[in-house]
Amino acid sequence: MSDISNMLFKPNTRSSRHSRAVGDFYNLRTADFIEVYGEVIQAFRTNDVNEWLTYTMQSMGLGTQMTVLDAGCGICGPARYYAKQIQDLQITACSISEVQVQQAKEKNLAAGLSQRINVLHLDYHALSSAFTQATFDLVYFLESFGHSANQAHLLQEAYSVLREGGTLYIKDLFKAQNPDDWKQQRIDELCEDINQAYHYHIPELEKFLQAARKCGFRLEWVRIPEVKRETFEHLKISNDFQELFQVGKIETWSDYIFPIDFFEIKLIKPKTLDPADLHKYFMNQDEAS
Amino acid sequence: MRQANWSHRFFSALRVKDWRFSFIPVIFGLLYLFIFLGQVSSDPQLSVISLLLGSLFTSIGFASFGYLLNEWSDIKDDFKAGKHNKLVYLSLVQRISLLFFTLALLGFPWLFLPKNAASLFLILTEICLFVGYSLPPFRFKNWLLIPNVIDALYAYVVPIYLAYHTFSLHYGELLVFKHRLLLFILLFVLGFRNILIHQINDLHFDRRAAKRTLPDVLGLHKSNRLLLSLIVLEAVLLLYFFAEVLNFSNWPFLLLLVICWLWLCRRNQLFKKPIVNQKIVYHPIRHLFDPLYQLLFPLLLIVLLLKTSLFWLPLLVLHLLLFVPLSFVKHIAGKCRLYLSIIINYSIWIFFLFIGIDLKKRNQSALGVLGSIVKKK
Repeated sequence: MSDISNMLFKPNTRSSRHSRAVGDFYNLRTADFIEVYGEVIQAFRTNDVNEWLTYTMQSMGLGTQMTVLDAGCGICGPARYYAKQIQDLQITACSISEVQVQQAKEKNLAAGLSQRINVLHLDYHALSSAFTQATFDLVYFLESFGHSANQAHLLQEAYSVLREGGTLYIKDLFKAQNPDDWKQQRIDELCEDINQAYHYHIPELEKFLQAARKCGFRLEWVRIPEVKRETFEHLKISNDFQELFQVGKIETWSDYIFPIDFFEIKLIKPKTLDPADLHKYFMNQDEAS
Repeated sequence: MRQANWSHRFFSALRVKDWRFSFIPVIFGLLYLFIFLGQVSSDPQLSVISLLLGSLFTSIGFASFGYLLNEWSDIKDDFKAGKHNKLVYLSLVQRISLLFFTLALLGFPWLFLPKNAASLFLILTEICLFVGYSLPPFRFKNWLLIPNVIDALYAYVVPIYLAYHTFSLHYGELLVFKHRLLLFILLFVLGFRNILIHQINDLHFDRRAAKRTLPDVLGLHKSNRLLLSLIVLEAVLLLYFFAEVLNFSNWPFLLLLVICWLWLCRRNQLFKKPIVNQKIVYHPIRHLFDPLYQLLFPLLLIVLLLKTSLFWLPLLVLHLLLFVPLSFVKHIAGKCRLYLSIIINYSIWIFFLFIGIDLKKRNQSALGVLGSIVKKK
């Protein structure tokens, strides 16, 4: 693996420098994240985090005997939960942070899941170099996609390692849009603050969808995570975390503008159709195949 | 506890925080400039102290009166906009008492300060601007563009002209007409910029109160262009003012001013954030010159005065106590202590090197070495 990571970390492009910065950020801050978030490092969540993980599991269509990639796995909190819930699920998880990889391995070992969750120290922009094409049934990013400084390239990488008919599931924060110029300016600036503090590149939904479709993905759906209102975590945890960074803290609701929207997005890598089936192109994949 | 609560309400109602570190230090910086220009050919006089003290009380009185009147007249609008109003917790009697207190504070010093008919005219103008801005029937603050002009006038132009006039009655004419004009155009631009920023910050609340202000009417792009133009104009006027009035031959002063200003801008993180969408409407850089006016200019003028006579040393202490944030004073004191300790420690180390003892190599303090020498003897 060290050969792979040496090879992957060599290029000194803007994107690779950013990836390194993300790695350094998590090496330094993972303990703070764990203190506030626990093992599931996600801002959008329900009060009972297991309820949230069950929801995402169903939402992305995780099933038995699947081979999946957790891209930007943190310390594998979600991966362990999924592996416990679904027998025969094989997970490969990757993180750019050495500290996270180490902690994830230790926790997986302690949970007796080290055989089923393979944790790699890897820049997710180099998936096609690390894995053979069409390796995975599903690739998921849980609030990790936005760490990419080259999201169009990242989508291509995910596309290449997915098998035909495979799923790309992304849950992340996206920049909010507002018809009022003044509010939009504030949104843009707040997003910039968040980007700087967390080494993030909050995606814009429209650009994201355009890039995904250009890669060849078919859009299954985009939606706000459908959790019950009463179980929704009131961003209190997030606010506790903002205390550490002093960014985006909600001090008063009276003139607050939400700079982001949370969406979950499901994309499919289409199967190659037989010429005889081409007339079924507009139908969904299962029926067409 | 009850007393602390009352004093908090008192200072809060007068919005002391809003003027103590913002425009009052600017006014005092210019007062120091007038003294500096006035005493070029004469020694410092005790009578100037009474001028400064009188100016201090009347300035606090004017500022408190203006803010109090404004806050009082805004109670209904603030309620509509969901904005906190600092007078709601005070009874009518308390409010009226405060109003009389501020009026007394602004008026009393004029029993002693030099004055003439023009002084009275300027004092009345200032009060009329406050009243016209806040109270019916005019309540200019709800008009378009006029509040920006009035705010620039009552916050900077009129009070500083009054101060200039008062000091001129004491010293004689201090600035030629061209320089006076330059100064007051600069102050107007500064005031206009400040109120524009204030309106941008309050845009959301003003809309809720169905109040249309200049940035709302102009829109984001034009407001940004206006703000940028004001800052550029301010830069040009400032440069011209320093060149003309303070004279470029005093280059060490100007160099020090620029270095300290850039350091302060960095400290206040004015350059840290990227400029998003090429708009500076919410960017800290819109306050580019504020550290210069509010902190550096007054302090460096006191330094210039100190160069002429140590008579001004208490002024430095008083200014630091009244108009400089404590956090800044502590920061500077910490830095001074650090650099002093470096200088002293290195001096000791070099001194001992001269007598053949390397304290670093020995990993010993000077006292330790001296002690061991004494013991040996």
